[in-house]
Amino acid sequence: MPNQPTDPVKIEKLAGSREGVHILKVIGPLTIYNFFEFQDMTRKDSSPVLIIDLGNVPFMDSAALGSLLGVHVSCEKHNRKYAVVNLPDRLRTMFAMAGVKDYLVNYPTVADAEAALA
Amino acid sequence: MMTRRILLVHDDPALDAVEAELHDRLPCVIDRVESNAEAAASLCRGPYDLVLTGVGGTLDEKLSIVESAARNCQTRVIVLSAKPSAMDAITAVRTGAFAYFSSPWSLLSLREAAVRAIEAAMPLPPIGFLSALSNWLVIQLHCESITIDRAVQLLREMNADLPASLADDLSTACREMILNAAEHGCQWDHSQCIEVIFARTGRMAMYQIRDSGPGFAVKELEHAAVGNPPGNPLQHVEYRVNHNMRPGGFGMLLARKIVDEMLYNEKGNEVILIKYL
Repeated sequence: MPNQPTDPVKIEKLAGSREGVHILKVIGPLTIYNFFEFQDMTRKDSSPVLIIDLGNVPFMDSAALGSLLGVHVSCEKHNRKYAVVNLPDRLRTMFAMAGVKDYLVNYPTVADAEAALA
Repeated sequence: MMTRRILLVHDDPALDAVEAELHDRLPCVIDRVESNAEAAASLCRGPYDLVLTGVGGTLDEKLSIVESAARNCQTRVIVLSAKPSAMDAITAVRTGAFAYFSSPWSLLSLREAAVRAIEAAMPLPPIGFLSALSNWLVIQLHCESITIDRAVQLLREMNADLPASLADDLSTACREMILNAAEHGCQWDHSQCIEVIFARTGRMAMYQIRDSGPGFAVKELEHAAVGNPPGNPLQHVEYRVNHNMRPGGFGMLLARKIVDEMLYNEKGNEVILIKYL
């Protein structure tokens, strides 16, 4: 996508409360303009448990949803665990409309995901 | 990221949350004034990267800020309003405001629009208004992400009288179709234009999105979620991986789920979305 500015999304990489748990906290809209950064970070991450905090994502588009499903497919293939947490209502609705709500591993909070997956 | 200067017309307690969010989100100094008139005067004294108008006051006061900001060529303005008004939103953006948000707004969306405004190169690429009525809006957008985002927020305000979740859904559908036009129709070529027609009646909202590209075969949809067989919403994901396509392919499906009618023209470079209200 030439000539397109990068949307100012911020992705913070945090350690979980247990070893082997990484948390990616996404801040800002995750869109076609910036999903490559998110995709790179998730592809490079090799932790046994990856938690993606979407609580600060006001909206997401088709391209970003596709990259999130890429995480799902990759984790299944490599026998790793992941979850998305803190889903805003707008994203929850989008996942349902796209028919992927039941595929993506989802917990209300980081703590819930850690308790279930770690 | 450099420290940015923001001028906030703080005439409502709801703006405390906006101020706090902006401080959390980016390094910035936020100067407060109490009225739109004070803001217009402050702009003469020093440059700001962004002004957030008050929610109160008249549209004319807010347009004065937009016009003052346009003179120094560095300042973007987001016009805030206590009540939705599609005509005010059109007038504000047509005058040069970066965006218009009416209460109740999504705090995250407003915060991110502010960040986007601050990062936008000035002068902003223009949005062409071929019809500037609240029930019949026709806009022309150059194929640039910043212009598309501004247009989508303006179109969101056209439906601000609807329940927020419906207005958000319609915004999602419209945005996906505009992005398809930008990516597949115009190849993100800045010299190409996308035309968006929005019409509202008491019973329906309609979008018509047209690009100047070659179109596509609407029936060839293996790469898109809308072509997946029932019970396998991820089939196209595999297709896209195998054909080295970027992630995605949900746009048409999302739009089709949100609206009641979705029609493509024969060439495949024009789509109509209709939502019955």
